[in-house]
Amino acid sequence: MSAVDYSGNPNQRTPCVLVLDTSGSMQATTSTGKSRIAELNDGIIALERSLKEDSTALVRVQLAIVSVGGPQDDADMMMDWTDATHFQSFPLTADGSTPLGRGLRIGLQLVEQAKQNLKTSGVSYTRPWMMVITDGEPTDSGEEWSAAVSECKAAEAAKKVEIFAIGVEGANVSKMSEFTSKPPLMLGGMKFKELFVWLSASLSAASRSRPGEKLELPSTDPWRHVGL
Amino acid sequence: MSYQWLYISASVTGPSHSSSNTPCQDASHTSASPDGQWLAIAVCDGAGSALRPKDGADLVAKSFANRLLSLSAQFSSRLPGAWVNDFVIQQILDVRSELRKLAGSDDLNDFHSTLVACLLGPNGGFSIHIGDGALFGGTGSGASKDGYVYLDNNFFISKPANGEYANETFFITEGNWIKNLRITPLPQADWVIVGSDGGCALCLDSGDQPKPEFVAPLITLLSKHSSSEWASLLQATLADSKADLLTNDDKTLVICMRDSLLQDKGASYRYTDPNTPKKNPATAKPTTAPTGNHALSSAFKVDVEAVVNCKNNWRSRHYISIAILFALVIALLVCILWAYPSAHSKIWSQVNSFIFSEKSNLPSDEQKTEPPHPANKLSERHSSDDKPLKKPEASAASGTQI
Repeated sequence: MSAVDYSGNPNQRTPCVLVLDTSGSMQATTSTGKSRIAELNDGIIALERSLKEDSTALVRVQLAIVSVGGPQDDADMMMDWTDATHFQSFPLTADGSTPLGRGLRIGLQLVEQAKQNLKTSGVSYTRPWMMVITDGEPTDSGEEWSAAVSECKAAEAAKKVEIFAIGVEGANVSKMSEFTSKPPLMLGGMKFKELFVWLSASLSAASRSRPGEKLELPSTDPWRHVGL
Repeated sequence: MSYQWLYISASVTGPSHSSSNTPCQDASHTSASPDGQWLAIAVCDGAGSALRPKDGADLVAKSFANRLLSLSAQFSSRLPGAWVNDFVIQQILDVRSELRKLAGSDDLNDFHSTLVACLLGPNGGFSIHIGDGALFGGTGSGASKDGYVYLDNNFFISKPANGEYANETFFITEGNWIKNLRITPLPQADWVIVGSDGGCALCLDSGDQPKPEFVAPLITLLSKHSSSEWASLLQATLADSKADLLTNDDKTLVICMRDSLLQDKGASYRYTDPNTPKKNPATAKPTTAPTGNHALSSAFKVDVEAVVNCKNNWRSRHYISIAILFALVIALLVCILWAYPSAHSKIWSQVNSFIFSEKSNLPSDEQKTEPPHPANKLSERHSSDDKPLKKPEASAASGTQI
C-alpha cells in the first residue's frame, strides 16, 4: 500500500529514499555545540523548505525515510512514500547500534514498492535514488552485511536505483564504498543543511530531466569535505 | 485518380536549447518516388547527453529515408513478406557503418539518436521505430456535399517506447538496438504524422493517443493554403509560444497526406466525432524484431487483398460510368429519331454499329484497373478535380507483433 494518492497529480515522479544513521554515535556533540542528530534534523527541515520553494520538485519528488538505529535499535521505515507537497519534517532520535545492512535492504524494498505503486497508477518516473548517510561502522552480522552489499550492487548494475553514500566524520569509508559503485563523499564539518539543500536541487534537476539528456547535478562543493 | 503524397516537415529548437544556445538536435528527412506514390520519412532525435547528437540525427534521418525508399521498387516484383524485416535490419546495419565512418571509431555514443520512420505506398506501408517519438495516421474522406473533409477516427499509432524510466529512451546507436527495434505493417492511410518526442508533445495526449483537437485544425490550416506556404505555416505552429507550455524540447513534425484528401481548396477539415468511441483502434503495439516474421507477412497478405479489393472497386466504378454513358447515348438517339423520322433507317444502322463497337470496347481488367499516373506536381495539387475514391476498408495492422 502506498501513502501517496496519485489521482490529483499526474506528474512524473522522482522517488528518493533516505537511509539515515540514527545510532548512538549521532548523539556526539559537534563544534557548534549541537549534537549530530540535531544537525541532521535541521538538515531535514532545510530539505522540506527547499523542496517547497521549488515548484517542479514540489509536484515531482517523493520521499521515504529509513532510520538505522534509534530507540528501537533496529532499521525501520520511519516514513512511507510521501509526495514533496505533503512532506513534513519530524525529528529523529539517536540511539543504539548501526544495522546499516538491514537499513539498505529496507531502502531497496521501498524503491521496488515505489515503482510498483507508480506503475499501477500509470504515473511515469525517473530512476529512484537512495541516499545513505552514516557516521560509523555497520553492526550487522557479516552474513547480513554481505547480502545487503550484493543486493545493492545488483540493483545498481540493473539500473534499478541510484545510490549515493555520504559519510559523516568517523564513517568507515571502505565499508561505504562496498555498496555503491560511486565513490562515497564525506560531509565537510556538519554541513547537513547544505547537503539537504543540494539534495533538493539535485532531485529537482533529476525530476526535470528528459530522455537522452545528461543529468547535470549541482556542485557538491558547498557541503563536501575538501580533500576527498 | 491521383495517389500522390504531399508532405511538409519543420523543426523548431525548444526553449531549453535556445536559451542555452544549443542547436536543435532533431532531424528529419523525406524521400518521395518520382511518381509521388511512395514516400519514405525518417525523424531522429539526437540525445542531449551525446557530444554530436545533431550530426548523428542528420546522418541517420537522411541515409535511412533514402534507403527505405529504395525498398518501394522491390514491391513491383515481389510480394511483401518476412524479407522486409531482413531488408530493414540490413539498412540499419549499413547506417550504423556510416556512423562509424563519421565517428572514425567503433564507439557510437557521441551520436546517440532515436529513429521513427515509415514507408508509405498506395495500399499501406510499415513503420520502423527505435525509442521515443511517434508515428500515427488514418483515413479520411474527400470533400463532401457540405464542403467538409472528414478524418476518420480509426487512428493507427506507433507509440514511443522509453523503457522503464521517463527520462531515458532507446537509441539506434546502442549496442542492443535490435532488441528495441519495432517494425509494424501499416494499413492504407490518407494522412500520416511523424514526430520527435517534442513534436509529439503537441499532438499526443498523456496516454499517447492522437489529439484530434490539434490534428484536425492543423490539417485544416494546411488545406486552406497552397503547399508553397505549408513550411512557414507548420514552422509557425511549432514555434507558437503556446507550444512551449507543452514541452521545452526541440519539436519536429512531418505531416503528409494524399492529394485525394485535398480536392477542394476551400474544404475545411473536421474530425468525424470525438465523442464516438473508437471503432477500430489499430494500435501498433511495441514489437521486437527478429521473432514472429510470420505475423508480418500475414499482415502484408491483408494488404495484398486490399489491392485486389481496390481493383474490384475500380472495375465496378467503371461499369457504372459506362452504363450512364450508354443510357445518355440511347436517350440522345431516341430524341434524334423522334425529331427526324425520315432518317430512321440510316441512323438505326449507325446506332447498331455504335452499340456493337461500344460493347466490344468494354475494358479488359488490365486496362481499367491501372490508376492513371498523375502528372501534376505537388504544387499544382489543387488543380486535381478527381472524385474521392471510395477506398476498401483499411486493413488495420491491429497490433500485429513481429
